[in-house]
Amino acid sequence: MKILKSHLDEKLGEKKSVDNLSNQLTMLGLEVDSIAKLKSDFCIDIDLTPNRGDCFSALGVAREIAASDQTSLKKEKYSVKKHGNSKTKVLVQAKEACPKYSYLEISNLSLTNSKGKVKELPQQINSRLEAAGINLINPVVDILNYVMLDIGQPMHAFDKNKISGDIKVRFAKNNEKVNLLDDQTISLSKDSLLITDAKGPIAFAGIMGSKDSSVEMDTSAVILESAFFAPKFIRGKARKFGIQTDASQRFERGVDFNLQLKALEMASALIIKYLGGSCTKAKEIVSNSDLPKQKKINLSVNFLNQKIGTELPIKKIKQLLQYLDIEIIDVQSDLIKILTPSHRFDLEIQEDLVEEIARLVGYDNLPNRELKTAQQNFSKTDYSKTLELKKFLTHNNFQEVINYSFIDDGLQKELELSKGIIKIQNPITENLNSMRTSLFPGLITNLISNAKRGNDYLKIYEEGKVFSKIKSIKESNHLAGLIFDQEKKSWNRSSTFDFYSLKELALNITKFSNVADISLKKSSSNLLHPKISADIFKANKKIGSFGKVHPIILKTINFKKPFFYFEFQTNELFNSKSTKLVEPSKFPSMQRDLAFIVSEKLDYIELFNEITKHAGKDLIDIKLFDLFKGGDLQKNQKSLAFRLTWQSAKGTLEDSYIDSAIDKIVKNSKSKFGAKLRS
Amino acid sequence: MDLQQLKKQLSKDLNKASNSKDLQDLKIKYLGKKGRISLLSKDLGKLSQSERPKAGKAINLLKKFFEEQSQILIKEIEQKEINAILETESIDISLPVESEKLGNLHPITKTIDKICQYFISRGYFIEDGPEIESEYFNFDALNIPKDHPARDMHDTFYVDAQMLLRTHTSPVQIRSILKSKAPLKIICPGKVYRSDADQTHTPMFHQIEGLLIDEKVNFGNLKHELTEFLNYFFGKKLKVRFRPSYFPFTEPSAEVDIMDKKGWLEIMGCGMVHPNVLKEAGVDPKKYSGFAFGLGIERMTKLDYQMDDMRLLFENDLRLISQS
Repeated sequence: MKILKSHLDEKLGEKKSVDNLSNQLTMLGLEVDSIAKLKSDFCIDIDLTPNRGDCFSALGVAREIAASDQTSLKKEKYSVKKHGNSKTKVLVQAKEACPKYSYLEISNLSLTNSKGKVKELPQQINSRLEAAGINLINPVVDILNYVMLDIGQPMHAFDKNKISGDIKVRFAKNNEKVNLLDDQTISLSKDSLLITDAKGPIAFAGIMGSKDSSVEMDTSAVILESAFFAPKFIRGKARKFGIQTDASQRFERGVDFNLQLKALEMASALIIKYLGGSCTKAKEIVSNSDLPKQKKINLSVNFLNQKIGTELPIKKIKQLLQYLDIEIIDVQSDLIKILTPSHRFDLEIQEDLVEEIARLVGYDNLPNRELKTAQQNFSKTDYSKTLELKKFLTHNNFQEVINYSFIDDGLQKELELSKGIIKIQNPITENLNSMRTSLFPGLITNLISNAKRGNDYLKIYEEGKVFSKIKSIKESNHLAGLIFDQEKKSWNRSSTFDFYSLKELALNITKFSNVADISLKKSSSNLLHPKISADIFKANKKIGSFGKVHPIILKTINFKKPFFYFEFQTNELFNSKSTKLVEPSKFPSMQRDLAFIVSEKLDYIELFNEITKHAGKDLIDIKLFDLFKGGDLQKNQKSLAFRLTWQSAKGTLEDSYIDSAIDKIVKNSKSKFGAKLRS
Repeated sequence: MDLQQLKKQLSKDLNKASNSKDLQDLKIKYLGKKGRISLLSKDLGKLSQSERPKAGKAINLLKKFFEEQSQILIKEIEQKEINAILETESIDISLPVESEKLGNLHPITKTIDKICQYFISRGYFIEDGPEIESEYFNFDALNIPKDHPARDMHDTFYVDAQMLLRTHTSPVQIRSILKSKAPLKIICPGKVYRSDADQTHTPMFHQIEGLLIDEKVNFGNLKHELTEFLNYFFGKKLKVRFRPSYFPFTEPSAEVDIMDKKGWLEIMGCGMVHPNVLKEAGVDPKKYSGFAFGLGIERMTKLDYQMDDMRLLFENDLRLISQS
């Protein structure tokens, strides 16, 4: 809310320096967002929190400062002579939504002077309205807006001559239409509150008046409305139609329910003063049972002092409460029984009063106290396990990236990642309209944008949630990486990242995480090259996959050069085993080399499995140290050379033991694969 | 041959020796089985009793002379040989090594961890919660009923009628209390979402939520804990101020500002946990009280790395994020 400093000065009856005033407001919880210098004045912009509707006026803001200064405000009095009663009848049917409806009539007023020119209001009123960002409309509306800005009561004026029959305050019928002041016609629902006359709606209550009943330059008689509309019947209504008015903002936060007559008094006095005319007595239709109640709260002095770490005496607390217009009904030893003022809708429980006292004492004046509480973290959290994984990749020269969790559903569809996709109903832009089901789209976007900048070597990864809804919403953490290597190598580094580099990395991740029982199968992922990829299984559960990206994907994303990708379920990599350290064997190890000639088509793993099956339990290592094709071999053959190492924890192994193992290996490899020993 | 001559010959031979093989050969020539000095020793038996000690001594002196001279020679030869090896092994150490670019954690991750490490050391447990959250946990349970004006401050993304992308990490407060009961000390870093985008807002950003519930926790404890934390984070004793604010789930509520070069700078929100929140999570507010705080990671990252545009953090331009 914007307000002129001079306006506050007037209410306070003293001139403060703008810096002091601004600091004081901020420290009271009315944060000053900015101060703009205007000639000899300052426009102060206050960021009001939604609980403080009572500060939505010069009076409200000044009241806070006076309380903090422990003084009282300057009293202002408006009075006007009244003649008779209004002939217009008002029927309030929606009492729960409009517990109080006050109004009076002013007749024989004129907005223009004898020359037909619009009468001018004092510059002070105009400049205060303008500073607050309230447009000048016509003198009647401006005066009503000024009353609202000054004391916080939103009001409305109907041109009396445009009203026919009784005025009713009632809920709208379904789809009932109202033609608003800003020229838009909206269609209402049953929970919207209307002011109507015999012909139909004349105002969207508490939000905006209708065009048909509005005050114009030739208006000569008005009905002034000053009502209390219950906040819950106004909240969300204006917003629903994309309108927000000064009135709706105040009504939805709560307007002082004892303010209505005072506002009528002030408005009629100003109108008669500047526009002439005479007014009737005010009429007030009140449903006491529907009006908010001033609340009774018991405040324990001990509780208060314990909460904020003070030792305030009861007398001091009583004093501070009274400066806030909080009425003290009774004091019983430790308990102060109070009644909240009618302008405060945010005071409901003891803690609310604690905050009030803390504000007046000043948060900065409350003592800081070290707290001694017990340690609560005993086990390693998922957070630290995840961080260890991230650091592992970082140490392998991967750069971490963070992408938005929502992406373009079109891209997800094109990549065939739209199974169980969760759409956002109100996306900020269309290309952020669905939750990601995989980290892949984000990473390729990063690849494309960095490659465009001429980056020809990139190792990136991301750890984060992916989302899907099959029957219910599922979130799971994934860890994925992308490797793009098209770099011209330097004189000392020649190898390009390939599938085997990726396999080494993927297996190292599982080793780092101490995941047991790992096996690989050709991958079933749509994203990966069917021949150059693998799924990783932990026992029988798939925990990730890796490989060269499928050429069809390159086409889809219009990227010419190949790259590699891996993705794991993060939680499957959490190391939950406690490691047992095993004493190394004291006995010597034995090594033998075996080279087999087999068909080129035979997968390494087949031969490997056969060898380990027959090598006996003391085989501790098997290494493929040479892979050879061509030379003296036939075209469809290859040679695989293994180095086998045996060692026992119980004793030195005999040559005969090794010989018989090798014998079995050779025989079985021959019968199963036709493998020949290479001499 | 007399000994004098032999010694002369020996000196001459030693002078000619230029490598360890030459020296080995000389050793055989003089001290080998049939070496010349060895033969002299064998001939000692032919001498008379009286001549023998004198001749023996002379031979020993000759042997000693040989040993000493060859020791000196060995050192010289070894030095020469090492020098020769060093000469052949010389390389151009000025050649460039283009090592792989080092990997790095994202600046956001670094900031989160810098904050987490502090609270871990203070005994807080790190919690996590869903990012697609129900209206109940995101709003209702936090004392923000439907149509509450505070909901307007959160521009919420919805995935269906009841489920939304969490607008803050505060729902984890409720989930943690329900799970672990009081007393409790947790922090929760994570992603949150609001429909807002400009230089200082991105529709996804990160927060850390902190919650402590115990007996007799008061506002002074909150002030102390957060002041100490901010001093730690910025690595110096800061001017910190607490000022009243409003969050539906805390009472009293406060904003924390620090004094920056340009004036007061808003850093985080906090407050004493509202009794309605404690009740909703099944904790007796008469027995327990607590405080909660939340801070924006991007803001802390911006301050720590002196950057202006928050959006850059999610563009993942490697030239930028690899600097951190």
